[in-house]
Amino acid sequence: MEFSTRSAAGWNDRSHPRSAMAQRNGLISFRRRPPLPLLLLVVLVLPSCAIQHPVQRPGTPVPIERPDVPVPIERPQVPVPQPPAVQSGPARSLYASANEALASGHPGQAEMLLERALRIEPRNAQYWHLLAQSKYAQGDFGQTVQFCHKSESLAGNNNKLRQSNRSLLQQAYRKLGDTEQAEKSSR
Amino acid sequence: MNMTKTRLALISTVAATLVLLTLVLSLHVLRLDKMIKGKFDGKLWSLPAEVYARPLELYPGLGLTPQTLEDELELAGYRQDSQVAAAGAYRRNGTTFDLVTRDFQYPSGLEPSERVTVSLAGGTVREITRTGTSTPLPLIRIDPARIGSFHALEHEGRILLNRSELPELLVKTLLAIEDQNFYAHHGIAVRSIFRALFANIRAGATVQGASTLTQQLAKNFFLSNERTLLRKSNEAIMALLLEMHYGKDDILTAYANEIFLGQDGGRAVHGFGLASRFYFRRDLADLTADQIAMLVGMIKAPSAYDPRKNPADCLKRRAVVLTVMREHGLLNESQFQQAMNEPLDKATQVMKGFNRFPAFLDLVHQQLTKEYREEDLNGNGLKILTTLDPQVQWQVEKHLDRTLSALEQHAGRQQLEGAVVITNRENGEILALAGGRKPYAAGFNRATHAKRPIGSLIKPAVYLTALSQGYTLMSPVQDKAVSLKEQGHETWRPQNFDQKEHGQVPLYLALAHSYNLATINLGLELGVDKVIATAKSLGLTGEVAAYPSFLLGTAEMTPLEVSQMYQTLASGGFFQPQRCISSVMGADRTLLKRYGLSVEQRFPPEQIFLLNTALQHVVSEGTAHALSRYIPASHNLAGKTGTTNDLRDSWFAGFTGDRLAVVWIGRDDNQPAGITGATGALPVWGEIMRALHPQPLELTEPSGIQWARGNADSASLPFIAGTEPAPDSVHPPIDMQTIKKETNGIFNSIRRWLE
Repeated sequence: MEFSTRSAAGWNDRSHPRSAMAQRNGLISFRRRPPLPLLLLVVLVLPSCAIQHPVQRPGTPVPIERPDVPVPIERPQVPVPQPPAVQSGPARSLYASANEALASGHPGQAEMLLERALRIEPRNAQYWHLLAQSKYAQGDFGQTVQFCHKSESLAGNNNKLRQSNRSLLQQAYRKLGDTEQAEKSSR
Repeated sequence: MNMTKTRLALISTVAATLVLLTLVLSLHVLRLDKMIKGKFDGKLWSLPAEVYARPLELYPGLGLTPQTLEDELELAGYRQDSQVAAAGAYRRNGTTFDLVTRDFQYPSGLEPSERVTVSLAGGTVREITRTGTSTPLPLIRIDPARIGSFHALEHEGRILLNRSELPELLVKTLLAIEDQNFYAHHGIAVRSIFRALFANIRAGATVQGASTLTQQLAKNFFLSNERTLLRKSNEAIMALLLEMHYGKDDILTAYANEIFLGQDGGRAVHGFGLASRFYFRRDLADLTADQIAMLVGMIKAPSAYDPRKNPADCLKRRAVVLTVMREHGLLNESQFQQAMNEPLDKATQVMKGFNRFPAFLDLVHQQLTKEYREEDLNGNGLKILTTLDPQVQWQVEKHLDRTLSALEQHAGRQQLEGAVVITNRENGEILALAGGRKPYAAGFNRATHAKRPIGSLIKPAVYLTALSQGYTLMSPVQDKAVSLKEQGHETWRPQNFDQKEHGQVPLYLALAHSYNLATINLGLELGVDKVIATAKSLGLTGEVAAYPSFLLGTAEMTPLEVSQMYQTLASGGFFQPQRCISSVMGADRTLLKRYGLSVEQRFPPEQIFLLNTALQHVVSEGTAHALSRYIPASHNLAGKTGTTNDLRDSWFAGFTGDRLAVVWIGRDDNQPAGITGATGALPVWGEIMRALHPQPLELTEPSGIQWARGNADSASLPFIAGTEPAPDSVHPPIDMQTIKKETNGIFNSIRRWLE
């Protein structure tokens, strides 16, 4: 008697946690347990369809978009003058890793590192500049231009960085076929 | 003969009935079989999308109090543990924390678990080292808090585990309690029914169930709660079918992920994985014997044995399970004693933070449904990394409601509602969002859906247009009455808030004091269409009719849309789409989509610099002067107040060195709220931002800016080189009379044109 109440309570609880009412009449279902041999027979009558179906893990039928698709790495034809090294700031280790990632041909990785660095030091003009470089390497010259502008807007009187920005800007404009702007930026 | 005939007839009738019965049953079984395969092979578990807050980055110098760090850790599901034994544990010793971060797969790769010691002092992080060493770490990030999930089925969440992730002790205990013969039977076990009966009689209590795990699974998966003979037989058939089609381990795994183990408010807790997080704040693999015993014991009746609601019954049930564990040799005597003595207390703290930020989650959901079909979004176990900053969100929730309650102490202000959007000033990430003053009440999200006239918040667009047309901050503007006739409308005679005319005023002061007449006159001079173009470049979307009333903010926008416009100002003239999602990963943690930074320069930095300087004057000497009650004037914050007709809407938008915040206050029924931008939204803004210890606002000065005094009384103001007043024009003040004459001519022509 005990166990029938138990099972029913357990079941009810599982599927309808709030329904306390249903926990009571547990006995009924067990008194009416169907004759097992019949069931077994029925199952034996079944067409032999006992094919093992692998359990399918839920798939993700969504298009995959990777930032680091293997595009050929674009390198500025004229080397962009190296801005001064970042010595301080809480995100300097990320900046250093981004530099390495970019140098080793992983601009997408560099981009993610720099976005993280910019979350910590949002107004660091050098991080924005390196982000522009990582966009250039991925062939996104439009964003290269924009990030150069952004870097420029925060560069203050960091002349070395401004020079790097101008050089990269010029090359990005050339890639975009905008010689007029390219000329302008070199000045 | 007759007898034989009758017998034959009887036999054939019986045979025919049997054949018919078999046929009907076979068809029925086939139907069930199809159902099972459909369920098991298709979407066995519809996996909810999991939503994460931003990870907390820790580095020396970061402003952080010990309490906030503890709150962050608790939100991320970390547990206090004096041993700091496993990933996800922490120990706080005054202002020093030892913790073990958890592995986390970021889009950029796996960040492995790390043991670190974080010491704080004076409200900042002082040092981070690897625990037990003196190696300083420049930067670590704590794996992000799971803040919610999107599920196709209502209010269900799951942490899906595979067979290898189920601890052996759990599996053995589960089988000992629920189904000892699991690996031997074929879905239903006649003998176990009797064994269970005897065991229960012997123990004098219910220690064993009679249904096999497979039957329980079949029941939970496929059948409603009706309790009939038909259902019981269906359940048995399905159990047999499940066993025919699938291996024991698949069934066991399905059971472990499906089993119902309690309620978390409106959400059902299914599966051991989620239950472990919910009751113990740790991963299933880290559970101790007493905790496993508690969970397995709860299967019998999750609400009756709920450790929070019925701790005494829960303890009793746990003891029964522990005794069985000892009998089966799963625990030795000392382990058994130790487990028996463990208190339940760890299970009694409710896991904080789950679906706790409904307005923000709603925004995330809105964004995702633009790109994903609902079923992909809800059912495929996507991992969604968001930009939510819990520290900012907590302050928003705390101060919005509190300040509104304080405002309601004044007569004539009732039923105030509000919305807040806070973003990162430079990268446009949405850090916090309030859709109403009651943060947990899911419902109308005012931040994303309440479109209200924005009033004077539009004015920066007017003044920026002026600056782009060669005006300077000192250019004189006429604050004089104007009456306008728009076709099909009454003649419109806008007024200043103080109902006075201020005559000729310098441009920056007209903005600082939010003079309506000056703005209308200026805007008409510039051209309403030009101002609309500026507003669109700032981020205004949708079509607006070019009526002069646009100049005073009749355009209706949501707080989020306003925030997008001001983002362009705050970030120095760079438009960037605001983002609440940083990336979306698949259930297997591969990156599906990243929402990276992108910017677009829309205004020359010089013009924005001038405008933002004027917005600083709004705070230092204009309509937002009261902000200094909350944040020292030396922070040089920039902002703009907004109020609409009859005090229906109260707005404040402004930015600090690090964040942009937009606040709207008003009533849902659009009745007068009795507050201006400065008396309603501003105090809310001030309270929230003060609590966030804002960085002072330093505008980066572009090259080619000259500072000069416009006249003897004016502040030192920036000018684009070449536009600054000549030194001899400073004393006496500029010849206003001439300018007045010239501009009056233009005004008159426009007025005539309008009339």
